[in-house]
Amino acid sequence: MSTSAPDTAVAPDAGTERPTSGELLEVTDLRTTIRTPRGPLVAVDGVSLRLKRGETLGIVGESGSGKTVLSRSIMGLLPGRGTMLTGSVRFDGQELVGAPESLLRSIWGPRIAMVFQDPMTSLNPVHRIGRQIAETLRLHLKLSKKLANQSAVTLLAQVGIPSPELRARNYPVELSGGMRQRVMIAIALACGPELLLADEPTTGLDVTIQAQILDLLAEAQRMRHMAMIFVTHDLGIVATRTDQIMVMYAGRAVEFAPTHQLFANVRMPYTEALLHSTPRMGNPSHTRLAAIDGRPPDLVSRPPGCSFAARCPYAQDKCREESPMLVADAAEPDHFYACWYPRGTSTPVHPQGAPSDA
Amino acid sequence: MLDIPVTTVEQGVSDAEVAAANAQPGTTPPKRFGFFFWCCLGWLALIALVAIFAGMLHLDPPNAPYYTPIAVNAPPSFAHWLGTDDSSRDVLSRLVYGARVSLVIGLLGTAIGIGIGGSLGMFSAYVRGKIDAGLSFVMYIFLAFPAIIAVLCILEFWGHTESHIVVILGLFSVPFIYRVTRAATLACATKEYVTAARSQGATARRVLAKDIFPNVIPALIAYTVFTFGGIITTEGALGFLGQSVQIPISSWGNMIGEASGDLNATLVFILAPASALFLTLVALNYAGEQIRLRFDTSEQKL
Amino acid sequence: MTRYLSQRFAALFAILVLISVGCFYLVHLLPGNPAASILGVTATPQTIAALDRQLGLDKPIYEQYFIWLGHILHGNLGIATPSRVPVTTIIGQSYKLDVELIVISQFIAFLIAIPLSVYAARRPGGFLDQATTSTSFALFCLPSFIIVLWVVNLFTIHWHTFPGPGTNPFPTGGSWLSNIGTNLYVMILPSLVLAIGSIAIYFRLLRSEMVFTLQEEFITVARSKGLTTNRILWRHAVRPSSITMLTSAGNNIALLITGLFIVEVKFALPGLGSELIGAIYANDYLTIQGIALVAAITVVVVNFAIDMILPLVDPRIARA
Repeated sequence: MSTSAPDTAVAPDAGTERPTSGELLEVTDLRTTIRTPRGPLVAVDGVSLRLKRGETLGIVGESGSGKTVLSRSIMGLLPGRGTMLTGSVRFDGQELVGAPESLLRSIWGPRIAMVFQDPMTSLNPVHRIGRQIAETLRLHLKLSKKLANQSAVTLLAQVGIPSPELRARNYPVELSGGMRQRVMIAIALACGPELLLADEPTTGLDVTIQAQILDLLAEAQRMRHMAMIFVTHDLGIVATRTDQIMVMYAGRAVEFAPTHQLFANVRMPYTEALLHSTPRMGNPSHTRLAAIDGRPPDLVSRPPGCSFAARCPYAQDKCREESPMLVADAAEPDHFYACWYPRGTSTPVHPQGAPSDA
Repeated sequence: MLDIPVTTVEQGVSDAEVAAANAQPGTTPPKRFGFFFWCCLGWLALIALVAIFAGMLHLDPPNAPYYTPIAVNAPPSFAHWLGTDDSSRDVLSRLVYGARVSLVIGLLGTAIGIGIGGSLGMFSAYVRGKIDAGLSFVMYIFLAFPAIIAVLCILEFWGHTESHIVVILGLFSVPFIYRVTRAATLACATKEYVTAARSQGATARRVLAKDIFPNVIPALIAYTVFTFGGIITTEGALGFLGQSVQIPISSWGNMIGEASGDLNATLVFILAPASALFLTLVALNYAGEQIRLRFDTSEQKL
Repeated sequence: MTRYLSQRFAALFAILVLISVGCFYLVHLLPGNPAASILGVTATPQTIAALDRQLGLDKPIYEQYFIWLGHILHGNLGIATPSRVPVTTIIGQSYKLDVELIVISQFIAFLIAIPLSVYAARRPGGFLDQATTSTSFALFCLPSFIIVLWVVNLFTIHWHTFPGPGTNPFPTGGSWLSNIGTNLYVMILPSLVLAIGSIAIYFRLLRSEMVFTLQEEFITVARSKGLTTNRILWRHAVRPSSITMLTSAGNNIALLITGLFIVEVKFALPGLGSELIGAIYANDYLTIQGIALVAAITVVVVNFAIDMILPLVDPRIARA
């Protein structure tokens, strides 16, 4: 176990100009298998996606759909024992799947960073928050202790924490949930990452704080020209803040489209069900929300056919026998979905391949 | 790379399965008791049976020396399986009767400790308030006081009889059991189902008997076993210092103490009681630990 | 924080008062009459009554307590009966020895237990973890009086690596440096014996807490910052995991005293345990009282000191 500095390239350098456009992340057929006593559990099953610099991708799904595992798999954060990662994650041309941990460590922080779901458990309770921010700065940017502490205070100010000099000396217990999530964002932004993974960053917060945190993330993204993957169970949150949306179900991408196309023309019945289970302002009061009956399938012994078939109101025999591929819509070539009998008007063209081939 | 279990994984499977998938030795309760656990119980049963039926084993009298010069510090032989000691007493016989003393002191002492400590602990946690605070404070002082000093004084001035040792070691285990039981009861009493039972008008006695007691029992069983081991160890230490039951009565502790003071003693004379004591403690602590893990009642969690 | 501190100080004061009452009363619980035992076989009822008056034993018990308390607050624990030496003199030297034994043994215990548990917890169920866990369990089950026998036999009688029982730990001849050297040379073996039990306890507690801490979300966050495994283990995981171990170190001091007495007896070191046993045989009430008082106060003060350290280790403590 080496305690020395990262030995491989991609040394973070705040000074150099980065490209502001072009492909940043390319995930191909990513599969995450978790060992269980009952057999291997495929938590992420052949997901492919692409992300350009400065763009935002929303990953939406109910709990258990594998969206959190996907975001951690992209980063390579899952523990080595008990999990297996296949497929490819290319970040700025560099393969991350199977990369040595020393390489990953040099990328984690300065190039890819993550904001976690629960701010109450994500901060180390025994360290002052200023130190938790300064830690990455000293490690990756090789700042002096004094400079790192000053930068930490600046970062705290940037994420909207009042009297940052005083707050930097506080312990996490002394801060509210919203404040802690701001600190988490400051930690993630500290080294100026090119890609930010936000894993349900507002789920643990009060509704009144949620919008503030979302605006903060959007602002930071615009200022730093950072790509972002936004994981959430709430379609409403991603509707106005993303360029593309991927809907996940049972570890697979079931619909993938530019945001406006997805909302304009929902094809996959699961996405439709998700939309109907979200309350909307337009509806008259006391409108019943449509709950999705049943549970997601058992990922250890996955039934044949479409994973959603058991809960899908439009399911037919074919759905229970054959698994649908992710295909492009005939009218909208950027709109992919996995369904034999899609909603809407246009007819599917089979097969045209996954988005990675598009 | 850090091999930490997957805890943050969301899956389309039950929580229990996620827990099982992350199973790491020492972090999850065992599904069933293993082979070694039953070995431990077997050993405990064996020494208990030997101690109970010592009189039927046709052993030489443990305390009566023969005063035959040949038999002083004799090595193991067919007549004396573990040899004889410096007073030409049969070591095996002393070991067996010593088990009686050690086990009886352990058992009765634990009974006193569990009886007083257990009931006070449950009572204290159930009534809470000032009584609880006061009792806890008194117990805290007893925990802080180095018991060995009081035990040595009291035994010296009152006499080193078995019954005094039982009472004193039992009483000094009270604060320990009190603390554990109180914590277990508190953890239970604040659970939803107890609040629910109270809100439906269940009487205090009913709540204690039906809802709390059954849930405190696993913790109590585990710590009973630990206390048993603790009292046997303390008795052994007293015996080693010559402050337990008095010569010529044997206990494992004073056998070790006697042998260690005698440079002519054969190795087996120390090894026999030391191994018996060590194996018994391993059996007790392992069995207790397995019970504790099985019911997942770590002291910090309570 | 202020509330935490004031609570601890109030508890400390109350406990010290109760302990002084307990120690004062201990002597009155014991059978026999101090005056009679001081005067020995020559005692007559008249001389006993005279000495009772002289010792203040004819006064009401609460008055006696305050007189006694006044004495001990001035550092006067009375005169030991057989030797007619002040109790403080007798206790002073042996107390110094015991404190040194405890300090060295605890230092060794932490020095061994902490790295072992940190690296064992890194891979729960791995080879190192299984080996250290089962070894510590075996040591945990091995009473100190068995350990001390093996150690004394092997290291002093068979191999002569360390000085045998009875070597003076406080030599006066020679330079101060060589005196310290001799002292450490004599003390290291008994301290090691004393440390073994503590190592087993600290290892078990810290290892299991570390295993839990390493599953916490903030450890994943630390990984996502790109920190090395060693830095995560030592800088991020040890401190939040160490509260249980530190608390048990406080409780451990009370239990350690049993082991301390055994080690003293076996190594023939003139500590409080040896003094106590001697005092008990000699019916030397005031020395017994003094030893009980000093030992109890030490335990309480150590626990108090640990209570003071805890909020520095984990800021959640004082705010709970």
